[in-house]
Amino acid sequence: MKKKQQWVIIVFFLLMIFGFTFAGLVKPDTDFSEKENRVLAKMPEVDLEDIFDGTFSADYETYLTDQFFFRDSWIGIKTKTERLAGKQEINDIYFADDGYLIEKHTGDFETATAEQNVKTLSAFLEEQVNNYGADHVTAMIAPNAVSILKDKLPPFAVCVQEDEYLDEIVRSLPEGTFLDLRDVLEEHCEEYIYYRTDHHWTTLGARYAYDAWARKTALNALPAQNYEREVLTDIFYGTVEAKVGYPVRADVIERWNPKTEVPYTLSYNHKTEEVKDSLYEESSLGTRDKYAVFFGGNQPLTEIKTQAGTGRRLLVIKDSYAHCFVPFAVQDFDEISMIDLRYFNESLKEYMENNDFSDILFLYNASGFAQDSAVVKLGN
Amino acid sequence: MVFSSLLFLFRFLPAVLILYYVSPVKFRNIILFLFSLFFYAWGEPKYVFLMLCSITIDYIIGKKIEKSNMENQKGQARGWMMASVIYNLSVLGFFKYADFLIGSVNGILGTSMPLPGIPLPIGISFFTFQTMSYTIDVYRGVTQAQKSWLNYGTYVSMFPQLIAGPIVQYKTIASQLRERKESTEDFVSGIHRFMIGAGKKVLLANNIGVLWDTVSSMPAGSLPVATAWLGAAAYTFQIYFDFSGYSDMAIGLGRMFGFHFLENFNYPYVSKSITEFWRRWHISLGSWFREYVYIPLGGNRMGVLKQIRNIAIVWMLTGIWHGASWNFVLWGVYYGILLILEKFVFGKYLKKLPAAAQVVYAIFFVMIGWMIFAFDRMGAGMIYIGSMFGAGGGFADSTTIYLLYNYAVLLAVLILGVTELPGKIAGYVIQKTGEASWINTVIRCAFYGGIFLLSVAYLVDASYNPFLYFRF
Repeated sequence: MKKKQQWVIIVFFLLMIFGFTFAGLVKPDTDFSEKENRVLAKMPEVDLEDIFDGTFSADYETYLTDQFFFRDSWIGIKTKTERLAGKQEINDIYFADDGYLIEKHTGDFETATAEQNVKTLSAFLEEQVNNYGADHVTAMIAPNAVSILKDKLPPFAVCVQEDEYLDEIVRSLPEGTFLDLRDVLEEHCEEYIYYRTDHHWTTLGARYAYDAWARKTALNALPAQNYEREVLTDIFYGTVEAKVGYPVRADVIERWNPKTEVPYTLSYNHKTEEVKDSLYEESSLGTRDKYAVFFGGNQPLTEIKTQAGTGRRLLVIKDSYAHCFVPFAVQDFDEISMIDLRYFNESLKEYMENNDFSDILFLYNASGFAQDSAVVKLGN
Repeated sequence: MVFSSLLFLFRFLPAVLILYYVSPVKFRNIILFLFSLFFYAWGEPKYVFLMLCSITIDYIIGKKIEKSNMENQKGQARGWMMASVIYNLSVLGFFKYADFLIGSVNGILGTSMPLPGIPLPIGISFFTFQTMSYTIDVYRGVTQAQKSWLNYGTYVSMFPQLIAGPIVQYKTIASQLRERKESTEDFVSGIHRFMIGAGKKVLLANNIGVLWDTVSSMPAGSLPVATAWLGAAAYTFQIYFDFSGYSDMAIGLGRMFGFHFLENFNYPYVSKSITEFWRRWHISLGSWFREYVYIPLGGNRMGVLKQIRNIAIVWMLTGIWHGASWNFVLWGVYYGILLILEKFVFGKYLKKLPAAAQVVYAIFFVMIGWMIFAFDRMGAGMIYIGSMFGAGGGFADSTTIYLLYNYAVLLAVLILGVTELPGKIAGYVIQKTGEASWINTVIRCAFYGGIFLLSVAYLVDASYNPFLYFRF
């Protein structure tokens, strides 16, 4: 190699190292990643104690990766490389048929929290059956896509952890309280019951669950043909897509509008002065987190009063799978309270004593339920 | 700090390169020394003082030994050298083996002495061996004592080889510490080695590591034979590309600052015997044990029995050097036995086999060895090895097929990667295009740039951790 050529290689190398360094230094920090739906790490404060016990170094490295320039594009490059190399799953997400990205959720179900939550829920339901009667107490741990859309998984892929966990739940919960949605949803597995790019079920999936629940609790539900389906957006990219950064088909979010609607009002978190008249927060459709169009995302407490005149009052203890499910209940109950244990810090017992509920519904998705450390609050 | 991190590539490396090259030659060692201390302190803020203490003690002892040698006080020199060895082994014993020793004593005697639970200082096994090589060689008169504490500190702490080797013996770079000539030629070959190493570590080792994680997290007792072997192959590839990639990066970085370290790997997986494997795997460790343990014990010069004893001692120590638990002892003993058998029993028959059969023989035992190595709990390792021979029941299941076709491309790349073929192809391309041609320069830049961009993509994603629910 000639001297000149050596210099070309050296300059090329230095340009890469220093160019990237410079780009990182001049890029202003971003507070929040819309795509990942989380707060990004900030520059850690310099503190002698943190420096000596090593936390400063760890925090600084998190800060560097979180704030790396064109972060999302780098993730996309990695995903494309792995797909080219023939990998059918990346970051524990299957690249399944029909444009589905399906999370494996391996590891979610074999934790102490997962095991404890089943026990806590079982004890809670036992107590509620005594208070409300078995016909009026239901737990639905909705299966995730991985356990229903098995036909769409890549050839030879086996993922049974979630099914085993759900079997365990079937065995553990008090007789007659658990509604196994696998039987219901598997029947419709060819339909659009899960989002392709998000971890939630679709409004259609929730509707099938609602019908099954109505049958179980002898609820006279407003039939499906009395609704008109409306597309809210057809460019929804959800949380699963955010993990792989790979071009896939966008999802469609729809709501079901009753042809003749029962009037209702709702309020969040005891703010009775700020009464709303819509279940939908349409401004969310302009953001990345479009699923938040239902109830504006997670609220600690949502209280709905309707003029349905059925004489039934419902308490839903839930995660976000309930958000597209509960709108159906609005037509069939006089009062509905939704509690999200992750953010609800009052005594659940007191709240239940102060309100005269006729039906109790516990609605979570399986992986969310297994991981949620707030389920213990059922005992509060 | 590790080389394969955004922190190293885009903060540490540019800073040390700039300051090193703008400084006048006489300040370059101090720049390297300060950056090395920072490099170490980044992950080990407290233990950097332990390292400084070792540097100072061995520096002083080195001078004492030389003085005694010059005054012909052999006994005194020997005393100082022993003091250094005892100090270094004590430090290593205390920080690395205290828990293991006490735990083993508890296990044997049924006592329940509390474990001190000392966290292991990174790289301590490497730098204590380096400091010992110094005092022992000064005692032997092979090398002169270092007059400057700074230069000696630079040698011990030098960040390229500090935390994962190669184990650079003092005598091999003594003159380079005093005066070295950085050159564009060295810098270019440094870039080459560094980029190859980064690719091996970030793109190959980390990815096949995912396969090993997948297989090793399945219940070992019921693995089908083919899955168990696939897992073993994954680990075998991971440990080679990880460790040799790291050594490549170390050697490359050394070159960028004008240092020439000895090679640490030489295509170990194409060896035709276990003896050959250990001449090609972690060469700097093998040479260290040969030079400072095996030969001083008498090597092969005092009869077959003594030689067997010496091999046994060296391989017990080699095993335990890799980690403080019984599986590493077993792993060392396993290799000791294989080496003794090759030397005295079947080595001569082995040579008569076709070359391919010899390679298969060697890699078979190496893979079994890695499975002893991989499991801290020996019981778990034995169960896994049992499954490799059918104890898990069945030959393959759909998961085997799924994993196999998911990793087929990567495995093909890795199989080629352990042979000399990629190097030969590169050599052929260079020869065809002409060593001094501009095409050649362009190909090189594209190659380095490609590895660089892909590695960055993988490093950024390593932390990519979307939060499913809402922000608190």
